[in-house]
Amino acid sequence: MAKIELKGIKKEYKLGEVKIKAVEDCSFMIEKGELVVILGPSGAGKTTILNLIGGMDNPTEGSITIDGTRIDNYNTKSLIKYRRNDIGFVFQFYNLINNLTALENVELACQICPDSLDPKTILELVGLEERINNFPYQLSGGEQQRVAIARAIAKNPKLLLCDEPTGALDSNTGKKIIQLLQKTCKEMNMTTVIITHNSVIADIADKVIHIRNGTVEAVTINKEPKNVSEIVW
Amino acid sequence: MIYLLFKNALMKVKKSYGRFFSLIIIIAVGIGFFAGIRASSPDIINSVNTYYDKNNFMDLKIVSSMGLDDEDVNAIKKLGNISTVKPTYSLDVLSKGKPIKVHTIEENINKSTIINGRQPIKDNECLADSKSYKVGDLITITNDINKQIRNQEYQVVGTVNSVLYLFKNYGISNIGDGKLSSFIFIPRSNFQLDYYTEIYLTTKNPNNYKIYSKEYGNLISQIKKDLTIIKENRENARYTSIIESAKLTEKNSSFENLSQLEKPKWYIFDRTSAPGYTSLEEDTKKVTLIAQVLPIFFIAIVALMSLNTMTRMIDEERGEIGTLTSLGYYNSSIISMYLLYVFTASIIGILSGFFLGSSLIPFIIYSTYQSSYILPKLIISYDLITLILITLITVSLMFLVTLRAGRKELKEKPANLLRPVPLKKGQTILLEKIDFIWMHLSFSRKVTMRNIFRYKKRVFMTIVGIAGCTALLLTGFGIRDSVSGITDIQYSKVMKYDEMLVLKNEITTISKELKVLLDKEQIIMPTLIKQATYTVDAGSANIDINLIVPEDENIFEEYFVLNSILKNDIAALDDSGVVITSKLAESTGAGVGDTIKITDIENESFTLKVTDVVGNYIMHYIYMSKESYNEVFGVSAKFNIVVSDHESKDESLLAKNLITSNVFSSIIFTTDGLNTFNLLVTSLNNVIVMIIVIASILALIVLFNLTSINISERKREIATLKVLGFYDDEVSKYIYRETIILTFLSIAVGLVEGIFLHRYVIGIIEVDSTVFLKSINPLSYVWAFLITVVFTVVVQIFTYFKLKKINMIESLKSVN
Repeated sequence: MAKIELKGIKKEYKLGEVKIKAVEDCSFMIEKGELVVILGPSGAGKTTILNLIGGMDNPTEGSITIDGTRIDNYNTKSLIKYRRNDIGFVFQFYNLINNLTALENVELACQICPDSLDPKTILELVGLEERINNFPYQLSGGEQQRVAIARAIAKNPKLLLCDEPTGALDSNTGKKIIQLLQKTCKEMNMTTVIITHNSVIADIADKVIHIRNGTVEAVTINKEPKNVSEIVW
Repeated sequence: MIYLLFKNALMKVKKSYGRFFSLIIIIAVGIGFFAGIRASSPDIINSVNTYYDKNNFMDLKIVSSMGLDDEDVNAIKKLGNISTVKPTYSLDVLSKGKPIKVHTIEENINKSTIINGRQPIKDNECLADSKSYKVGDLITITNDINKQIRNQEYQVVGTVNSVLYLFKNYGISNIGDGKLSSFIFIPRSNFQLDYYTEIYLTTKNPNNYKIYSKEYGNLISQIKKDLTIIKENRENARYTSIIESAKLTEKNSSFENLSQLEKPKWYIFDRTSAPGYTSLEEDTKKVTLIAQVLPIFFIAIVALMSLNTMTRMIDEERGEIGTLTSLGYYNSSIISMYLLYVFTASIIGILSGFFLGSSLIPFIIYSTYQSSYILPKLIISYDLITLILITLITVSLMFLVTLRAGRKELKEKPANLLRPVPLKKGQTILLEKIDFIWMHLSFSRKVTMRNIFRYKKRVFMTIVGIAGCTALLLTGFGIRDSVSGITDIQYSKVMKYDEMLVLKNEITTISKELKVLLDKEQIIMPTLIKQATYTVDAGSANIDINLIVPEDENIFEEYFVLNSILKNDIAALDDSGVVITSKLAESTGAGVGDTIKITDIENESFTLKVTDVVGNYIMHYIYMSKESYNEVFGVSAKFNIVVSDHESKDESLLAKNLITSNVFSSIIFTTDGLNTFNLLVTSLNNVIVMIIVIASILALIVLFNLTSINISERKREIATLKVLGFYDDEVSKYIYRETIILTFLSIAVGLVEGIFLHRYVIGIIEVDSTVFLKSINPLSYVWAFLITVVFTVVVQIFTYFKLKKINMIESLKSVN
């Protein structure tokens, strides 16, 4: 039951002598197996929220509960363990290791996870069975993002976090990536959070969390999420 | 417009202090060592030269076996090029049983530097060696049998360093245990002699030729030649005057004794006879020679590291370069911005490195000499011509490096520059094709191997840097092995006697009385040899050789092991020719069957036929049989040295007894030779320590630089690993594994490189009269290896914290 609950989250950064409030009084809930889009303009605090859920940072105030366990007060080591076992991360710029083949990039993540899935099977799942021995520079942007998604889900995480996964892709390729994420979310019953400033993507989500000026503006629930083929951007 | 570019260049300095300073430090360290080591020998020589000038140190000294008189002084004064002629007195006496030399206080020559106290006023006051006496000490003189000195007791009113004694080993004495232990200076009025014991000369040196220079050497040889011309005349005159004055005073009865009087003999000494003069020359020469080899490493490493830094900088600023080109700036203006940046760093680096290096390093080397020398204060001088040359060379090198680093970026179209850098190509490596190895590597090992081959430039630099360091370390340790090993071999494998007893008079056989004396002193297996000094023309220079003729070849073989380097057998002495030592054979090019020409002090030459060449490490020797000697010189050999072993444990007592017997003029113990040489080895050890320190600093700089760049280039990759959930130690291992493999690879390369560098350095520092061992002690390999490993570990610890600090947020940023 990967249930995520944020309550009264506040995050402040110190920049020199100035304190910057990135997020304030932020509360929401995500149910297991849900496909959630966190939507907001750039600078709204989306990434900060993602970092907090993803165990890359601790909040200044408030509580984060994952499956009934509070992670907001984890120390560095516990956070690493949390990232290692529970989180799959997809980056805007893919972040593949250039010197490893597609397969090896997936293996890199698998070798540190106890319940990882078979890398080859996952690459087939994302439609890259032909490309497993290619290096990142031999792959298109969309293909690279597929490898990154494969790398994230091969860890068999409780939670898949995607930071602007289509941000560096053209619309057609972007659509395919979103489609893939929707598919894996549903087929593998994997809780998936996508961060984006692109409101079109919001239509395919089960739940949309609108962020503005560092706080939750609204949470909308799509009773009938659209299929990716129906959306246009 | 251009002004703004320059401003931008300076802003770059402000923006990244770290990079700018690391560039400065690399340049400063390189230049500092280069300039410092090069300045060391000239500074030391200059300091000693100034010390000599200030105290009006003698250029030449004339001693006669029967004293000198005013006629001699006048005759010398008539010669050209001489500025001071100072007749004076000195005498070896015993104080507390040890030989000390008593000198006359002279105002214009060989002046002493007072360390404590004042000049003597009264007759019974003296200046004394600051190393053995304190102000207020009372010195009592014994052994002045002929009452040549009025007062036998002196109070020390001033302690001094004397320009006459540069070396802690004061030399030999003909009394006591034969080793001069100290010296004092007493007022002239104390000497009650009707002749002078020595005359000191200084030359006119209008061009201020420095000690050890060729010009100075020529000046001295010219005067020596002039002195040799008047020498015989003066000896005869002195003889006549002694006889005449004797006739006036003595009665007829002793007249017969007079006719047996030996003719006086002049001995002419130059500064090489002063303790320390020659060894200081050899020591400084070694540093100079080392200074010629090391800079190659510095230049290579400084150039590589700066290239690395600049390439990285220009890579990072792709976007900015793109913006500037798209705005319409010329490539030349853009690159000049970087040139200005590099120029500023270079100038600061050069100036700070040059002045720091030139002041510190000569000082360090000089202080290493303090263990064996008594030296004046070091005078540091800054050679501005060298500075200008260094600046020109470094700045042009840096400009070349920058142009090379910027070449790629400036060739590209601005549009390309504004786009993100295309992905670096990943590649399969050759090793992957070898299935049976690749299949057996774990996943992380595969990644490591790939990464090593991916960053070829970094691998290359690491190998050059670390291997260079290891090579320097091995060379340092190896030099010590090569130099310190030879005394042991020379005195345990080649010359195995305990001592040489130098006879006052030459003899043909050990007489009964002598045998009794030797037995009484528990001297074992004495045998006679003749040892005489000759010179051999070795093309570029004349070298001194010792001719040795044994009386009894059977006992001789027990003491001198003449291992033929050609036959793997003991070389035989027979009447067909002579046996020479290997270095002599090498210097003269003479081999078996060739002839070698030796010249004696009277300039008479003799030709010898070489029958064999034997191994030897210190000095040159020619061995010949009595028969052969007779044939060559036309007279039978008379022997002047007893070679022997002894049973007594107290060498100093033994020496005292032997010298008191009046049969021997000096005793040369093998252990003394070892000690003197060990003093020199100690000073060399310090130079080696310095080489090791330099190598270490270089290694640290290279390792820090490379690791920093490695980390900053791979920040994104490392941040990604962290997001994926790698523990800190797993992240470190991911990076370390490469470093460890590279370090071991570099050490292996370095050890091989070191063997060659060592051989090369030994080749240059091998002075004319020594043969250094060519091999390196296995332990030195271990040390070179261990020290390099320790540095790697230190840098890895630093890396660990640097890696820990990398923020995961880096992974979210865009590529550019």
